[in-house]
Amino acid sequence: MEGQLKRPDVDYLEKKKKFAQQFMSIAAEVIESC
Amino acid sequence: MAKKITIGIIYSYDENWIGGTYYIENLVNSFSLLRKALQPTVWLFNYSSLSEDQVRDRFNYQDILIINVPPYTWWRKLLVRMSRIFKFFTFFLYGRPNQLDLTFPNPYLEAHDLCKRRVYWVPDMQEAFLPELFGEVEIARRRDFHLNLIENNLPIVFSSQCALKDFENHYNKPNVMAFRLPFAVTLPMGDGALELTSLRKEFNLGGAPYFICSNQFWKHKNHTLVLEAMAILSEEFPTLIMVFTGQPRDTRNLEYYASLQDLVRELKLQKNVRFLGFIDRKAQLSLMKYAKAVVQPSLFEGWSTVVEDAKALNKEIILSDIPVHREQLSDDELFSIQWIKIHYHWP
Repeated sequence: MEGQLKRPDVDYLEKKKKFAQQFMSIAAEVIESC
Repeated sequence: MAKKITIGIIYSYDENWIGGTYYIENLVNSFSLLRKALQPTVWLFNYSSLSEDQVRDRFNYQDILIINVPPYTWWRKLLVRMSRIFKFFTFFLYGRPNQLDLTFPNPYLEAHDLCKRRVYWVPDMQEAFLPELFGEVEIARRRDFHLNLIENNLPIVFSSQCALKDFENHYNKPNVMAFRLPFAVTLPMGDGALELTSLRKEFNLGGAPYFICSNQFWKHKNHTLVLEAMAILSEEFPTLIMVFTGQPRDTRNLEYYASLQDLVRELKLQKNVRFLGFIDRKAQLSLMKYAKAVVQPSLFEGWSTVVEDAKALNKEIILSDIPVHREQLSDDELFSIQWIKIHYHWP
Protein backbone atom coordinates (compact mmCIF):
# COMPACT_ATOMS: atom_id res chain seq x y z
CA MET A 1 0.00 0.00 0.00
CA GLU A 2 1.10 3.55 -0.43
CA GLY A 3 0.50 6.35 2.02
CA GLN A 4 0.99 9.72 0.47
CA LEU A 5 1.59 12.18 3.23
CA LYS A 6 0.51 15.75 2.75
CA ARG A 7 0.27 18.19 5.59
CA PRO A 8 1.10 21.67 4.32
CA ASP A 9 -0.86 23.43 7.04
CA VAL A 10 0.15 21.55 10.15
CA ASP A 11 3.58 21.28 11.64
CA TYR A 12 5.06 18.04 12.87
CA LEU A 13 6.11 20.03 15.94
CA GLU A 14 2.64 19.48 17.36
CA LYS A 15 3.16 15.73 17.29
CA LYS A 16 6.44 16.05 19.16
CA LYS A 17 4.79 18.26 21.73
CA LYS A 18 1.99 15.73 22.17
CA PHE A 19 4.57 12.98 22.69
CA ALA A 20 6.19 14.94 25.51
CA GLN A 21 2.84 15.87 27.06
CA GLN A 22 1.56 12.31 26.98
CA PHE A 23 4.73 11.02 28.60
CA MET A 24 4.46 13.60 31.37
CA SER A 25 0.81 12.68 31.94
CA ILE A 26 1.79 9.03 32.32
CA ALA A 27 4.61 10.04 34.69
CA ALA A 28 2.20 12.10 36.80
CA GLU A 29 -0.33 9.26 36.94
CA VAL A 30 2.29 6.73 38.00
CA ILE A 31 3.79 9.05 40.61
CA GLU A 32 0.34 9.69 42.05
CA SER A 33 -0.59 6.03 42.13
CA CYS A 34 2.57 4.77 43.87
CA MET B 1 2.73 25.50 41.46
CA ALA B 2 3.36 21.82 40.79
CA LYS B 3 6.63 20.32 41.95
CA LYS B 4 9.23 19.90 39.24
CA ILE B 5 9.65 16.23 38.39
CA THR B 6 13.04 14.56 38.18
CA ILE B 7 13.12 11.60 35.80
CA GLY B 8 15.86 9.03 35.50
CA ILE B 9 16.24 8.07 31.86
CA ILE B 10 18.30 5.03 31.00
CA TYR B 11 20.27 5.52 27.82
CA SER B 12 22.57 3.43 25.73
CA TYR B 13 24.02 4.27 22.35
CA ASP B 14 23.69 0.93 20.61
CA GLU B 15 24.19 0.61 16.86
CA ASN B 16 22.90 -2.96 17.09
CA TRP B 17 19.50 -1.58 18.06
CA ILE B 18 19.64 2.05 17.06
CA GLY B 19 15.84 2.33 17.17
CA GLY B 20 15.99 2.04 20.95
CA THR B 21 18.66 4.73 21.11
CA TYR B 22 16.70 7.10 18.88
CA TYR B 23 13.58 6.46 20.96
CA ILE B 24 15.22 7.85 24.09
CA GLU B 25 16.80 10.76 22.21
CA ASN B 26 13.44 11.65 20.68
CA LEU B 27 11.72 11.52 24.06
CA VAL B 28 14.19 13.74 25.89
CA ASN B 29 14.45 16.19 23.00
CA SER B 30 10.67 16.50 22.91
CA PHE B 31 10.69 17.78 26.51
CA SER B 32 12.06 21.11 25.26
CA LEU B 33 8.64 21.75 23.69
CA LEU B 34 6.87 21.69 27.04
CA ARG B 35 6.17 24.87 28.94
CA LYS B 36 9.20 25.71 31.08
CA ALA B 37 7.34 25.02 34.31
CA LEU B 38 6.41 21.53 33.12
CA GLN B 39 9.84 20.52 31.85
CA PRO B 40 11.31 17.73 33.96
CA THR B 41 14.85 17.52 35.23
CA VAL B 42 16.46 14.57 33.48
CA TRP B 43 19.13 12.37 34.96
CA LEU B 44 20.43 10.58 31.92
CA PHE B 45 22.16 7.35 32.93
CA ASN B 46 24.62 6.71 30.13
CA TYR B 47 25.39 3.01 29.76
CA SER B 48 27.16 3.40 26.42
CA SER B 49 30.82 3.98 25.64
CA LEU B 50 30.11 7.52 24.42
CA SER B 51 31.74 10.30 26.44
CA GLU B 52 29.64 12.87 28.26
CA ASP B 53 30.33 15.45 25.52
CA GLN B 54 29.35 13.00 22.78
CA VAL B 55 26.14 12.22 24.59
CA ARG B 56 25.39 15.90 25.21
CA ASP B 57 25.75 16.60 21.49
CA ARG B 58 22.91 14.18 20.82
CA PHE B 59 20.47 15.95 23.11
CA ASN B 60 18.94 19.34 22.65
CA TYR B 61 17.55 19.76 26.16
CA GLN B 62 18.76 22.14 28.83
CA ASP B 63 17.78 20.57 32.13
CA ILE B 64 19.79 17.39 31.80
CA LEU B 65 22.43 15.80 33.99
CA ILE B 66 24.49 13.14 32.21
CA ILE B 67 25.75 10.37 34.45
CA ASN B 68 28.26 7.94 32.99
CA VAL B 69 27.56 4.62 34.65
CA PRO B 70 30.71 2.64 35.43
CA PRO B 71 30.85 -1.18 35.46
CA TYR B 72 28.54 -2.90 37.90
CA THR B 73 31.04 -4.14 40.50
CA TRP B 74 30.03 -5.76 43.80
CA TRP B 75 30.65 -2.60 45.84
CA ARG B 76 28.64 -0.57 43.37
CA LYS B 77 25.83 -3.07 43.56
CA LEU B 78 25.93 -2.68 47.32
CA LEU B 79 25.82 1.12 47.08
CA VAL B 80 22.86 0.98 44.70
CA ARG B 81 20.96 -1.29 47.07
CA MET B 82 21.77 0.98 50.01
CA SER B 83 20.71 4.02 47.98
CA ARG B 84 17.35 2.49 47.43
CA ILE B 85 16.80 2.32 51.18
CA PHE B 86 18.74 5.40 52.26
CA LYS B 87 18.78 8.11 49.59
CA PHE B 88 21.89 9.60 51.23
CA PHE B 89 24.02 6.86 49.67
CA THR B 90 23.52 8.29 46.20
CA PHE B 91 26.12 10.89 47.22
CA PHE B 92 28.70 8.12 46.95
CA LEU B 93 27.31 7.02 43.60
CA TYR B 94 26.64 10.28 41.82
CA GLY B 95 27.82 13.08 44.11
CA ARG B 96 24.26 14.27 44.74
CA PRO B 97 21.17 13.23 46.63
CA ASN B 98 18.63 10.96 45.01
CA GLN B 99 15.82 13.18 43.76
CA LEU B 100 14.37 10.77 41.25
CA ASP B 101 10.60 10.66 41.02
CA LEU B 102 10.52 8.06 38.26
CA THR B 103 12.77 5.97 36.06
CA PHE B 104 12.26 4.84 32.47
CA PRO B 105 12.55 2.46 30.56
CA ASN B 106 15.11 -0.41 30.73
CA PRO B 107 14.49 -2.93 33.50
CA TYR B 108 17.89 -4.58 33.75
CA LEU B 109 20.14 -1.76 34.83
CA GLU B 110 21.15 -0.38 38.20
CA ALA B 111 19.53 3.01 37.72
CA HIS B 112 16.13 1.41 38.06
CA ASP B 113 17.03 0.28 41.54
CA LEU B 114 17.28 3.89 42.67
CA CYS B 115 13.61 4.59 42.39
CA LYS B 116 10.50 2.75 43.48
CA ARG B 117 8.42 4.33 40.70
CA ARG B 118 9.42 2.78 37.42
CA VAL B 119 7.79 2.84 34.04
CA TYR B 120 8.71 0.16 31.54
CA TRP B 121 8.60 0.03 27.77
CA VAL B 122 7.55 -3.01 25.75
CA PRO B 123 8.38 -2.08 22.14
CA ASP B 124 6.44 -4.93 20.53
CA MET B 125 5.41 -8.59 20.78
CA GLN B 126 7.20 -9.71 17.64
CA GLU B 127 8.40 -12.95 19.23
CA ALA B 128 4.78 -14.10 19.56
CA PHE B 129 4.10 -13.60 15.85
CA LEU B 130 7.42 -14.48 14.26
CA PRO B 131 8.95 -16.93 16.75
CA GLU B 132 10.99 -18.56 14.00
CA LEU B 133 13.16 -15.42 13.91
CA PHE B 134 14.09 -15.72 17.60
CA GLY B 135 16.12 -18.22 19.58
CA GLU B 136 14.53 -19.99 22.53
CA VAL B 137 16.70 -18.07 24.98
CA GLU B 138 15.55 -14.69 23.69
CA ILE B 139 11.90 -15.74 23.69
CA ALA B 140 12.26 -16.97 27.28
CA ARG B 141 14.04 -13.75 28.32
CA ARG B 142 11.24 -11.60 26.93
CA ARG B 143 8.58 -13.81 28.48
CA ASP B 144 10.28 -13.63 31.90
CA PHE B 145 10.45 -9.86 31.63
CA HIS B 146 6.77 -9.57 30.71
CA LEU B 147 5.64 -11.96 33.43
CA ASN B 148 7.65 -10.00 35.99
CA LEU B 149 5.85 -6.83 34.92
CA ILE B 150 2.48 -8.55 35.15
CA GLU B 151 3.11 -10.23 38.51
CA ASN B 152 4.23 -6.96 40.07
CA ASN B 153 1.59 -4.86 38.33
CA LEU B 154 4.24 -2.49 36.98
CA PRO B 155 3.29 0.31 34.59
CA ILE B 156 4.07 -0.39 30.93
CA VAL B 157 4.24 1.94 27.97
CA PHE B 158 3.39 0.59 24.51
CA SER B 159 4.09 2.62 21.41
CA SER B 160 0.92 1.54 19.64
CA GLN B 161 -2.54 0.19 20.32
CA CYS B 162 -1.50 -2.83 18.24
CA ALA B 163 1.39 -3.60 20.60
CA LEU B 164 -0.81 -3.07 23.65
CA LYS B 165 -3.51 -5.40 22.31
CA ASP B 166 -0.95 -8.01 21.29
CA PHE B 167 0.37 -8.00 24.86
CA GLU B 168 -3.08 -8.24 26.37
CA ASN B 169 -4.11 -11.07 24.07
CA HIS B 170 -0.89 -12.99 24.54
CA TYR B 171 -1.09 -12.86 28.33
CA ASN B 172 -4.88 -13.20 28.55
CA LYS B 173 -5.73 -9.63 29.53
CA PRO B 174 -3.44 -9.17 32.53
CA ASN B 175 -4.20 -6.59 35.17
CA VAL B 176 -1.46 -4.03 34.53
CA MET B 177 -1.20 -0.27 34.17
CA ALA B 178 -0.87 -0.08 30.39
CA PHE B 179 -0.40 3.12 28.40
CA ARG B 180 -0.33 3.84 24.68
CA LEU B 181 2.40 6.34 23.93
CA PRO B 182 3.11 6.78 20.23
CA PHE B 183 6.41 8.53 19.72
CA ALA B 184 7.43 11.30 17.37
CA VAL B 185 10.92 12.00 16.06
CA THR B 186 13.12 15.03 16.37
CA LEU B 187 15.18 15.63 13.25
CA PRO B 188 18.75 16.47 14.31
CA MET B 189 19.19 18.90 11.43
CA GLY B 190 15.89 20.72 11.97
CA ASP B 191 14.16 21.59 8.73
CA GLY B 192 17.42 21.66 6.80
CA ALA B 193 19.36 18.88 5.12
CA LEU B 194 22.87 18.09 3.96
CA GLU B 195 23.70 19.10 0.42
CA LEU B 196 22.49 16.61 -2.21
CA THR B 197 25.51 16.78 -4.54
CA SER B 198 27.89 15.92 -1.71
CA LEU B 199 25.68 13.07 -0.60
CA ARG B 200 25.47 11.63 -4.09
CA LYS B 201 29.25 11.81 -4.37
CA GLU B 202 29.93 10.37 -0.92
CA PHE B 203 27.61 7.42 -1.41
CA ASN B 204 28.26 6.79 -5.10
CA LEU B 205 24.68 7.43 -6.19
CA GLY B 206 25.44 9.10 -9.53
CA GLY B 207 22.64 11.32 -10.80
CA ALA B 208 19.84 8.77 -11.05
CA PRO B 209 16.62 8.88 -9.04
CA TYR B 210 16.55 6.61 -6.03
CA PHE B 211 14.30 5.10 -3.40
CA ILE B 212 15.53 4.50 0.11
CA CYS B 213 14.94 1.79 2.67
CA SER B 214 16.40 2.64 6.08
CA ASN B 215 16.20 -0.36 8.36
CA GLN B 216 18.70 -2.39 10.25
CA PHE B 217 19.19 -5.71 8.51
CA TRP B 218 16.90 -7.72 10.75
CA LYS B 219 15.19 -10.50 8.85
CA HIS B 220 11.73 -9.23 9.77
CA LYS B 221 12.47 -5.98 7.94
CA ASN B 222 11.80 -7.93 4.77
CA HIS B 223 14.47 -6.47 2.47
CA THR B 224 14.02 -9.46 0.19
CA LEU B 225 10.70 -8.15 -1.05
CA VAL B 226 12.30 -4.85 -2.03
CA LEU B 227 15.00 -6.60 -4.02
CA GLU B 228 12.39 -8.70 -5.83
CA ALA B 229 10.44 -5.53 -6.65
CA MET B 230 13.63 -3.85 -7.87
CA ALA B 231 14.27 -6.75 -10.23
CA ILE B 232 10.92 -5.99 -11.89
CA LEU B 233 11.32 -2.21 -11.84
CA SER B 234 14.87 -2.21 -13.18
CA GLU B 235 13.70 -3.80 -16.41
CA GLU B 236 11.71 -0.67 -17.21
CA PHE B 237 13.93 1.80 -15.34
CA PRO B 238 17.47 0.46 -15.67
CA THR B 239 19.13 3.42 -13.94
CA LEU B 240 16.86 3.44 -10.91
CA ILE B 241 18.65 2.93 -7.61
CA MET B 242 17.53 1.45 -4.31
CA VAL B 243 19.52 2.70 -1.34
CA PHE B 244 19.65 0.61 1.81
CA THR B 245 20.99 2.08 5.02
CA GLY B 246 21.29 0.37 8.37
CA GLN B 247 23.52 -1.84 10.44
CA PRO B 248 24.35 -4.93 8.34
CA ARG B 249 23.82 -7.31 11.21
CA ASP B 250 20.96 -9.47 12.42
CA THR B 251 22.21 -10.87 15.71
CA ARG B 252 19.39 -13.43 15.63
CA ASN B 253 19.97 -14.53 12.00
CA LEU B 254 23.63 -14.14 11.20
CA GLU B 255 23.35 -15.34 7.60
CA TYR B 256 20.64 -12.85 6.62
CA TYR B 257 22.77 -9.99 5.31
CA ALA B 258 24.97 -12.30 3.25
CA SER B 259 21.85 -13.91 1.77
CA LEU B 260 20.72 -10.48 0.54
CA GLN B 261 24.08 -9.93 -1.14
CA ASP B 262 23.63 -13.29 -2.87
CA LEU B 263 20.15 -12.31 -3.99
CA VAL B 264 21.45 -9.04 -5.48
CA ARG B 265 23.89 -11.05 -7.59
CA GLU B 266 21.26 -13.61 -8.51
CA LEU B 267 18.85 -10.88 -9.65
CA LYS B 268 21.68 -8.98 -11.36
CA LEU B 269 20.97 -5.83 -9.41
CA GLN B 270 24.55 -4.80 -8.65
CA LYS B 271 24.11 -1.53 -10.56
CA ASN B 272 20.75 -0.77 -8.97
CA VAL B 273 21.40 -1.39 -5.30
CA ARG B 274 23.58 0.43 -2.77
CA PHE B 275 24.20 -0.95 0.68
CA LEU B 276 25.53 2.01 2.68
CA GLY B 277 25.68 0.34 6.08
CA PHE B 278 25.09 2.31 9.24
CA ILE B 279 25.52 6.01 8.45
CA ASP B 280 25.21 9.23 10.40
CA ARG B 281 21.56 10.08 11.10
CA LYS B 282 21.79 13.51 9.46
CA ALA B 283 23.07 11.88 6.25
CA GLN B 284 20.40 9.17 6.45
CA LEU B 285 17.56 11.66 6.90
CA SER B 286 18.93 13.94 4.18
CA LEU B 287 19.03 10.99 1.77
CA MET B 288 15.43 10.26 2.71
CA LYS B 289 14.46 13.84 2.04
CA TYR B 290 15.86 13.76 -1.52
CA ALA B 291 14.62 10.25 -2.37
CA LYS B 292 11.70 9.61 -4.72
CA ALA B 293 10.05 7.88 -1.78
CA VAL B 294 10.83 5.99 1.40
CA VAL B 295 10.20 2.24 1.38
CA GLN B 296 9.24 0.44 4.58
CA PRO B 297 8.56 -3.25 3.83
CA SER B 298 8.75 -4.52 7.43
CA LEU B 299 6.75 -7.56 8.54
CA PHE B 300 6.47 -6.35 12.12
CA GLU B 301 6.84 -3.10 14.04
CA GLY B 302 5.89 -1.69 17.42
CA TRP B 303 5.81 1.83 15.98
CA SER B 304 8.11 2.47 13.07
CA THR B 305 10.76 5.17 13.41
CA VAL B 306 11.11 5.18 9.62
CA VAL B 307 7.42 6.03 9.19
CA GLU B 308 7.78 8.86 11.71
CA ASP B 309 10.87 10.08 9.85
CA ALA B 310 8.82 10.16 6.65
CA LYS B 311 6.04 12.07 8.40
CA ALA B 312 8.49 14.59 9.83
CA LEU B 313 10.05 15.07 6.39
CA ASN B 314 6.62 15.14 4.73
CA LYS B 315 7.85 12.43 2.45
CA GLU B 316 5.94 9.91 0.36
CA ILE B 317 6.25 6.42 1.72
CA ILE B 318 5.54 2.95 0.34
CA LEU B 319 4.92 0.54 3.16
CA SER B 320 3.82 -2.95 4.01
CA ASP B 321 0.19 -3.52 4.91
CA ILE B 322 0.53 -4.49 8.55
CA PRO B 323 -1.82 -3.33 11.32
CA VAL B 324 0.63 -1.04 13.05
CA HIS B 325 1.42 0.81 9.82
CA ARG B 326 -2.29 1.41 9.32
CA GLU B 327 -2.53 2.64 12.90
CA GLN B 328 0.50 4.84 12.48
CA LEU B 329 -0.84 6.55 9.38
CA SER B 330 -4.62 6.36 9.69
CA ASP B 331 -4.76 7.31 13.35
CA ASP B 332 -3.19 10.63 12.61
CA GLU B 333 -5.35 13.61 11.90
CA LEU B 334 -2.35 15.55 10.66
CA PHE B 335 -2.10 13.66 7.43
CA SER B 336 -4.29 12.91 4.47
CA ILE B 337 -3.51 9.49 3.15
CA GLN B 338 -4.24 7.83 -0.14
CA TRP B 339 -4.29 4.05 0.07
CA ILE B 340 -3.32 2.34 -3.12
CA LYS B 341 -3.26 -1.42 -3.13
CA ILE B 342 -0.26 -2.83 -4.93
CA HIS B 343 1.12 -6.32 -5.40
CA TYR B 344 2.08 -7.68 -2.05
CA HIS B 345 2.93 -11.09 -0.77
CA TRP B 346 3.69 -12.47 2.63
CA PRO B 347 6.72 -14.75 2.48
